[in-house]
Amino acid sequence: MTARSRRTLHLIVTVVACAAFGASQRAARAGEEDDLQREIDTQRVSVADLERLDELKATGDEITQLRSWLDEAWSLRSKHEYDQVREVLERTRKQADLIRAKITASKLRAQANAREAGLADVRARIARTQKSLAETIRKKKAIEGNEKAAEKPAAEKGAAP
Amino acid sequence: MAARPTPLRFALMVLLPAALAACATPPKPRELEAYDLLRKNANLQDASKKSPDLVAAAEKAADRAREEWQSNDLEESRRDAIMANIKLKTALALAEQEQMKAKIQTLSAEQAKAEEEASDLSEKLANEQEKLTLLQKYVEARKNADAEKQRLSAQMNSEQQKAQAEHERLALQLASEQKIAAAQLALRTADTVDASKFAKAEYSAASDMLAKASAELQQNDYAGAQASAEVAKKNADKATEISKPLYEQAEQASQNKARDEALARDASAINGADVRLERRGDLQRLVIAVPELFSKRKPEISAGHDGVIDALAELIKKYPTYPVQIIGYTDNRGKASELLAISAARAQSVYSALASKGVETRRLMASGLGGDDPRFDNKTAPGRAKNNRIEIVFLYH
Repeated sequence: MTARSRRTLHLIVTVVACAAFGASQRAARAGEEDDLQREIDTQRVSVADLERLDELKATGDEITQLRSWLDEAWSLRSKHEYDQVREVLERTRKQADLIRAKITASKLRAQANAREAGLADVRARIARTQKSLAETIRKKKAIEGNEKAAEKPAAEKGAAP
Repeated sequence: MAARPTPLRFALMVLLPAALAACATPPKPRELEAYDLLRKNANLQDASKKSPDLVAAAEKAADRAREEWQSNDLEESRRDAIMANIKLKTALALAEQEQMKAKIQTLSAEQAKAEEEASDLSEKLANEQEKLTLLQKYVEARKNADAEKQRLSAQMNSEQQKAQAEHERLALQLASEQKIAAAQLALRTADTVDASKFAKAEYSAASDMLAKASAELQQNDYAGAQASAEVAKKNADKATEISKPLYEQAEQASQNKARDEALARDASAINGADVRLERRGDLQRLVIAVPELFSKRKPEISAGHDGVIDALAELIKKYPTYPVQIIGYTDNRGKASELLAISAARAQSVYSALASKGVETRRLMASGLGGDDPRFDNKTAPGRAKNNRIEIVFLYH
């Protein structure tokens, strides 16, 4: 093989290698983009789930923020800013965790409030019952007193010759 | 005159402050301020205990954000501050979850305790209310019983009063009836002595008052009935009192008359006797003339006249209350003294004969009247025979 042939071959190999490299890069980029899009879609679906889960509407701001960040991630993905997309998605995952924690906390708070209200009801019932009890005892004693007072003269009358 | 600045001086005046400004620390990112504010949350300590890794990560991110802020890398600082906020908020939310769980547990325990207390109180209240209800029922029942007792007592009093009134009315009625009965009895008594005949005014008054008393009794006018009955009784008694002697007298007379008549009838039944009634003054006499009992001038009773003597004796004994005279008579032929003696002897003979037949002699009186009081014509033999007679005289009362 001549030197020229070797150079030509070298050039061809180089070109082919470059082309292969470039193709692999594009393929890798395309796969990453799909992954990111899938994650964005998944998180968007989970936002809807979180909204349904938030029966007490305790995380409206956080969900709005989450949506905004997902939109931002989508926008960045469109611009092929994948590192930033990943950063934003990491943030949205944490935000989703926060939302779940807050929803659970709000439900527990509501549950606690309900328990508190129930307890207050029971205490109010106790107070009412105590009042009724006191009133009942008062009435009973009053009647007993009246009866004793009525029985005494009757007994004296009966004992009288 | 002020010197006009040169371009170099102008450039220095403008660019120097800008350069200084570019070298100075930029304003603190809003997210970092928010994080610092979040760190003042009262639950931070609980969050550190509950989620120490999360809080540490938040602090680390915040520190990085501060450094980036100090390095004027605001965008990075903001991003890290956001992450720090998210993590710390998550840690706080988890801490709140724990607090709420603990609170729920406490509240549940308290509620259970309160429910138990409420249940106990409700039970106690139910017991007390039941007692109260029973007491009220007892009081109601006692009141009803008292009222019933009072009603019955009043009813009993009323009944007693009615019974008393009825008793009094019956007593008055009975007294009235008794007085009326007494008056009726008195009137019947008066009837027995023919008071209507012998005391007409009193008897009529008694009858009228008795009728009035009966009418008043019918009208339940007991006082009036009693008064009328008393008056009726008095009148009846008075009528009886007036009538009794008169009635007795009349009755006696009637009896005497009947006896006299019987005596006359019985006397008329004696064979050969001639019976007649006479009145001499106040005295009534039944005369039984028995002729031809003696032979001529003889004082002894001729034989064959026992039947007449027996009949006379029986008659005298049958009517024991009459005094009896035995009088002898003769005709007028002869001396009067002789005739008198013969007649007396004849009367004595009859006296003895009757005495021998069982007639009580104390009732008998024998005497002779001779030829006095001839009943027949002495001029004829039959007349003289009939004038020689014995007369048995029953003296009426």
